[in-house]
Amino acid sequence: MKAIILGAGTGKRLQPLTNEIPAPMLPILNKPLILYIIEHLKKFNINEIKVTLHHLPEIIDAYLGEGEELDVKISYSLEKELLGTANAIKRVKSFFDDTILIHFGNCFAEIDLNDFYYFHKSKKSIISYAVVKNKSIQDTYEIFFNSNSRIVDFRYRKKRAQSQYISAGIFLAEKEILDYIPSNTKFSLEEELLLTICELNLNAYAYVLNGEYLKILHPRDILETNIRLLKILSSSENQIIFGDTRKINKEVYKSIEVPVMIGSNSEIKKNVTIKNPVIVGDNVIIDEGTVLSNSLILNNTYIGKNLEIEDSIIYKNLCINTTRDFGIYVTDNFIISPINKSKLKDKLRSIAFRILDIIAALIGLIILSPLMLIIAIAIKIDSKGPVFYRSKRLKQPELVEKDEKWYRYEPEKPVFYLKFRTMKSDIHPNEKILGLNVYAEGPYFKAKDDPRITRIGKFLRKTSLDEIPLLFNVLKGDLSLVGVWGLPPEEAEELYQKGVSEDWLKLKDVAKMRFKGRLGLAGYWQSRGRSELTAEERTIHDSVQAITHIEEEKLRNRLGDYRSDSVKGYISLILDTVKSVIKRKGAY
Amino acid sequence: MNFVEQKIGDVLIIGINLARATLQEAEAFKQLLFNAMEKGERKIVVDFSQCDFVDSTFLGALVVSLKRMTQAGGDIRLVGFRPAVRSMMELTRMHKVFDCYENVQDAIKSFE
Repeated sequence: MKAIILGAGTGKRLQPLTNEIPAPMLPILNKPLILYIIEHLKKFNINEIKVTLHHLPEIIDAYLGEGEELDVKISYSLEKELLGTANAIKRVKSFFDDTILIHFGNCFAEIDLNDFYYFHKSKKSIISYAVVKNKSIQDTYEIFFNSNSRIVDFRYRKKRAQSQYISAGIFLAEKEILDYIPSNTKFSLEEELLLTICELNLNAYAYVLNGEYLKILHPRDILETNIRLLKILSSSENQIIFGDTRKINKEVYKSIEVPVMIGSNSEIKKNVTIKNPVIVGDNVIIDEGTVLSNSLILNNTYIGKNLEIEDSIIYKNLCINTTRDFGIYVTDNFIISPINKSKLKDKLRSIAFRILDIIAALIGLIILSPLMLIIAIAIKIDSKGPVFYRSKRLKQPELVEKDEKWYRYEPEKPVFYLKFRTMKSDIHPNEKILGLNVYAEGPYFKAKDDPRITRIGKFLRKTSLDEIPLLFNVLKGDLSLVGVWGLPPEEAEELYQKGVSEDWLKLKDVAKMRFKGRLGLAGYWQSRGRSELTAEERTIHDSVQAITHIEEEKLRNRLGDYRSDSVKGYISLILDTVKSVIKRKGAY
Repeated sequence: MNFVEQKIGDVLIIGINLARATLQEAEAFKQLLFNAMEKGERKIVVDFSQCDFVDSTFLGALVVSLKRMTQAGGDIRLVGFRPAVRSMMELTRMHKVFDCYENVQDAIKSFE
C-alpha cells in the first residue's frame, strides 16, 4: 500500500510558529511530527510515500529528501495553489494504484493500520474515515455514523461538541473516490467530500481508533503535547533525556527534579533553575541564573542571564538577552518568535508612505505640467512616433530555477515605466550596442552617445527630464518615490544569474538582495552619481537600498540607523537625488 | 584624524575613527587604501569598532579597493562590526565578500 501525507497547509492557526516552520515539521520531543508519521507507516510496510507541499516546501524537502535515510521512497507533489485536501489527492491521481492511505501532516495516531485496512475492505468502503472520540478539540469536523459504521452526517465543530467522534485526519481510499472530486475547484476531504458522501449516500465508513492521538491545531497544542509526552516518556526512563552532547552545569544537573529533555549541542550554565518540565531543542544556550518552567525552547535559541520563562514557547533562532542586573519575566502563554506578522504599526507606516508618495507625485506633476507639455510638443516635432515610451522593468527576474530548487515558481509581474520617448521609434530600445556601454563589464547597460537617440532625446536624457512621467507610475502605485531602480528584464536576469562581473568578485549574493527591495525613483544609487559609479558600487548601493526598507520589523530594528523608512531618510534621499540630477551626474 | 594607520609586522591596520562612515569621507578612504596599495601594502585590516554606521558609498569604496587588491595578490579583511553594521553586512551578504573577524588580533593571525 502507498500513502499520501498532506503537508501543504499554511498552518494559519499555528502562526507565528508556522511562519518559518511548516506544520509537519514542528517538533514533538525534538523530532519533527512528520517523522513520527513516516516511522509509523513503515511499521505497516508502507514504504512509498507522496508528500504534498505548498507552504515552505523547501524545509520539508530538505529534511526528508527522497527518503534514503529513512529507508522509504518519498516523492512530492507541489501545489501552486491550495485547493483543499481532496483536490490535493485528485492531483496525484497517477500515484494511486490500489487502496491508498491518506494522512494529514498535522496529526499523529497510534492506529493499527492492518486492522483499519481489514475494516475498510470488509465494508467494501470507497473511503473510510478514521475517527477518534474527543470532546475537547475545537475547529474540527464531527462525523455521525450508524450502528453499521456507515457515515450518515457530519458537522463542523467550532467550539461545542455535539457528536463525540471527530475526523482524525487519516483515511483509506479507493481510486473510485476521485470520480467524485472535481478538478480545479476547492474541495476538501472533510467538507465538500463529506457533503457529497451524505448527499449521494456513498459507501463510506467511519473507523473508530483507540490509542494515543494528537492533533496540532494551535500553538498551545505544541506545548501541551510536548510536555504531556515528556511526562509519559520520563516516567519509564531517566528524568533527564539528553541529545548527543552534555554541556549541563553539574550543580544544575543535580538540582533538577522534573522531567527535562535537552537536545544536541545545547548548553545549560550555572545557577539555572528548572521548576517544571521543559524541553530544550538543539543548539540552545541557557545562560546563568535563568529560571525555566513548563516551556518549550526550540532549536538555535540563546536565552540570556537572569530571565524567567514560564508556560511559553521560545521560537528558534532567537536571542533573548538583558543587562546583568536586570531580569525579563516571560510568562502566560507567550510565543516568542522572530517573525512579526505585518502589524498595525507596519501597515500604518506603509499607508503613511503611500500617502506621502501620492502627495509628492501630485505636487511634482502639477509643478512640472507646463514643462511636460513643452517636452511633449518638442518630441512630436523632433521625430516621428509617440510621446511616451513604456519600458518594461522587473522587481525580480522572471526565471524559474530548475536545477537547484525546483519549487521556485513565482515570477514577478513586470512594471512598465512610463518615460518620454528619447529614441527613434523604429528601433529596439533595449538592445545593447556593444562598445557604447559606460560600464566596462557586467550586466548593467547605459549607452553613451547612442546613435538611436533623437536630438531632443539627448537633451532629455542629459537632464533626466525623460523620467518625469514616472511620477504617474508613483501615483499608480507601481513604485515608490524612494526605492531601488527597476532593471530591464535582460539586465535583471543577467545580474541574478551571473552576478556583476566575470572575475571572482561577482557579488552575486549581494546583487540578489536588490530584488527584495521595492522599486523607487530616488535612492542611494540614484543620488550618488549613477552611471559614474562602477558596477560593483552600483550593486552595493542597490542592495543597501533594498534592505533599508525591508518590511519585517525584526530586521528593521536590528538595522538601527540604516532605515530609510523614516520621514527624514525618505526626504533626504529624494533631495539628494534631485541634487544629483540637477548636477547632471552620470546622466547620458 | 578620521583614519588611524598602524603597522603590525607586514599587516597594515586602518582604524576608522568615525561614528558614521559616510559619503563625505568615502573618497578620502578610497584614496588612502589606493595609496597604501601603491606603496606595496598587501595585507590590510580595516577596523570598524568605532563605527555605528557605514553607508553604501563607503562600502562601495571598500569593494572597489578589494577588487584592486586581489588583482595585486593581497587581501583586505574587516574586523570589529557593531550590531547595526553587522546586521547590514549580513543582510546585504557583504560578509561573504570579505573575510571578517571579531578583532584585529584574529585578523592578523589569519594573514600568517
